[in-house]
Amino acid sequence: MPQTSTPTAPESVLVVDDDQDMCWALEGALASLGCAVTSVGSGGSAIAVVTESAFPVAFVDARLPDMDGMRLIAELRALRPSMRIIMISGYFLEDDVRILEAVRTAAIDGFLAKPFQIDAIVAAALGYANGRRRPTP
Amino acid sequence: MSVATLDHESFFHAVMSTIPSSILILDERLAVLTVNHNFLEKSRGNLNYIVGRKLHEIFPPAFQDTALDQQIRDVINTGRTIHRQRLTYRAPGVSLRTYSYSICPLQLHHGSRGAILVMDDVTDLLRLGEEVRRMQLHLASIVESAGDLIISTDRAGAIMTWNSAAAKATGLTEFEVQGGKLAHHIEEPQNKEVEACFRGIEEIDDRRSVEWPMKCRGGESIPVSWRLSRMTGQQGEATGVVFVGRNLVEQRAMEAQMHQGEKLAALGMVIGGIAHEIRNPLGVSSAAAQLMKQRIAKPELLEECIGKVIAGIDRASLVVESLLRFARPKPIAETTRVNVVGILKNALMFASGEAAAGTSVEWTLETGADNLFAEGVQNLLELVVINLMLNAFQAMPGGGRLAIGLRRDAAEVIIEIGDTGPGIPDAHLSKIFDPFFTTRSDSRRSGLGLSVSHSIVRQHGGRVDVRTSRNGTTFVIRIPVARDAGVESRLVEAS
Repeated sequence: MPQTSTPTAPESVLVVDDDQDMCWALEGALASLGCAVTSVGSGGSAIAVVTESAFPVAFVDARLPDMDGMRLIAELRALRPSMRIIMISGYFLEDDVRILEAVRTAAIDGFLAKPFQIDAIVAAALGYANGRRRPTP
Repeated sequence: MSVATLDHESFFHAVMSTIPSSILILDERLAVLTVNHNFLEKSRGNLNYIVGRKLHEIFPPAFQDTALDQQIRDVINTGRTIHRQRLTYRAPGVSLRTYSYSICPLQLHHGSRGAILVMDDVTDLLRLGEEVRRMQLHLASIVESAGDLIISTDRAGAIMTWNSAAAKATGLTEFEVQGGKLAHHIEEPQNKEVEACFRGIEEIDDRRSVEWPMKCRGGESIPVSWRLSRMTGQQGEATGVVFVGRNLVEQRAMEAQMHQGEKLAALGMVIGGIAHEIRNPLGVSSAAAQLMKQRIAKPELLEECIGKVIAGIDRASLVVESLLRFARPKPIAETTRVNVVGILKNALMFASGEAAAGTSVEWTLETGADNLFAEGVQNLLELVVINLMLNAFQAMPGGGRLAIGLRRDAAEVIIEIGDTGPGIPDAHLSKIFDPFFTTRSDSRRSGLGLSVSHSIVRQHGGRVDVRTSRNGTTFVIRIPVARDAGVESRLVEAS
């Protein structure tokens, strides 16, 4: 497993989840990386902040109040093609057809089911997720 | 004023010729003195031939074996009348006939004695009586063998008859209940309606059925659906009431099974959403616990983490608890006072997994709605609301607004579930409560949702209405407020 002091730690991370406690948990999990974490609760505000500034890494919940997580990811990709985006969800399982297909077509860079391991969040932020690695830009 | 006196001779002839019986007058030797017109007609005999003949000469041979001759002699000798004897005989080629006869002693001229024999052919009368009796038995056996409860009362409501289905259902025999008031056998408060129906006996409408639970021997009660009809006398006046009741115990058991099936089907639909509701707080708790492990040295963060762990577990177990309560089978007979906002919140939690992205929820709760209690079965009412919410969400695949309204109107709780979908076409509107009616190809849905919801609400003594237009559809559920709806507020005042 990569250590938290890995030099490839991103400078900032975006968390998109409408559950504030979940944002708190992800912020806590990522704190050891020493990166700035921005949390938003909807697809609309995610698009707004990403338009404003680039985030090397984003964690996006699959179900958001105003739009489907998968659609948000596609829109974020269009805005920032190099952004690494990891989907998190309590709704799907890692081996759901829709998730496997999204990982296979690189629509998402990784998937983590809730509840998750902090180490897995850290690894995903660093570019190790589901055995797939995209270099951090 | 002159008083008319009776001419005995002409009176005798008048009676003889008009009486519809056969009359023979015999002397001591049992020779015929005279017979009446009726006898001549029946025996197709000739008076000139008959007069002076012995009885056995004018009667068919079959009569010779009867005790008739001897009985006439006894009457003449003893002077005692023989009343209403019966004799049957079968003439060759003729069906069995039955006669009723009486023999009365007579004083003839010159001190000699004789007898008068009056005979009636009662064959047809007896057959008629037999038929009436058979018909009565037949009717009685229909009433007795009927699966339905059949009870008749007089116009004051006292029980006259009580069939075996009624005895079987209640454990009370006809003998025990006869003469007692029917209202005593109906549970409160419906027994008031029974009493009222006898006061308004002329208004009884046999097309309407009513549900009155009936008390049984052991103190338990059974659901019975009744139809009432008036018994009327010759002048059309009400003489009593017949109650035909259907024991709903088995029907209720079947409905309970169906409700259970529908609940499980609804659960199958929404299970993904529920999993999400559980896994989210579990995720928070788990992350918080892992953070605690990493940063055991920072007490201020520790405190926060512990709080998140406990809150997350509480949230998850609340979801699991409501899931279990929902899935638990429960007969509709056991109603309790249920918090309506709680039902709406649970239902939304279950159904929200089916909401498309871009769906908002708008609550319109009247002041004090948090303390609004209905009389009902919690998980069945939840099923009703889940079904309506699932329908609403499915009517808005591109998002929209789910409107949840709750208010009280007199003795009713009114729940409104509205969507901003395309509305229900007129052609479908009359069918939406029919079983298996569906316009969706979604194999997860049985098409029973609305029909089951409708039956549940009706069993709660409420009703479901629908308003629809091109701008959306709103279902309006009315259910009775809890019987002791006021208790809560009184307790609050007292404390």
